[in-house]
Amino acid sequence: MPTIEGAIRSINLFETFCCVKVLKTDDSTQFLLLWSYGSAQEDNARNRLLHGMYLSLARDSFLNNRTVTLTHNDGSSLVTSIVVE
Amino acid sequence: MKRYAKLVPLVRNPAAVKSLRDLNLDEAGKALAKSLDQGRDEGSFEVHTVDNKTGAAWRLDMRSGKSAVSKEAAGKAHFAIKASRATLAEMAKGDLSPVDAYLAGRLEVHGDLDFGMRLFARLAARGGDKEL
Repeated sequence: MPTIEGAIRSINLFETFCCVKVLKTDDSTQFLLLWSYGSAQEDNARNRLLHGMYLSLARDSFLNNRTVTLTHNDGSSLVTSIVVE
Repeated sequence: MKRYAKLVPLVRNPAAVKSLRDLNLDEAGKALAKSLDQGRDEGSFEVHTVDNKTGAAWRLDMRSGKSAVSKEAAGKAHFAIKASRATLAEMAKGDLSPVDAYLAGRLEVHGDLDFGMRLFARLAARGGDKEL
């Protein structure tokens, strides 16, 4: 499972998805999805809480320039975990 | 829900591509280069497949309105995507919008997003949804 390390440079929140721009330690950038609802259906409470926590950590990295480590599946932009140091 | 634009088919006969074995990514890359010739954008675009650990499936370099395709990853590309061959096949056939693929968690996006979106906008199928 790929892991990327860097700093959050932008947070883009839309009606059905939220993505972040990550400036990686090698100076390249990658766009990752914190969540995305594939349909108009509302997600369950557990996932909504999780997404809120993802957003909170991403915001912390963005505001305080803290290093963030994100994991996602190969060939996918959907984040599976976030660690802020 | 918004509907995002699909790409023009990058394979000669999309209906004939029934399985991944039928998809020629090199043919799709050359068609992409041809479609993007004469454009004002300069830069590089790489497509990586999940099953290819060694580098790019192909790389497109655009210089002065002329595009060239190679099979080597030559350093950092301005814009790069990575997906499974199945996802790339759907996009190349014009059956799947790149934005929908991204939002479905089926595509990695690296580099200059504005540059990439300009490329996709130029490849958007006519008569369909315009928003990317």
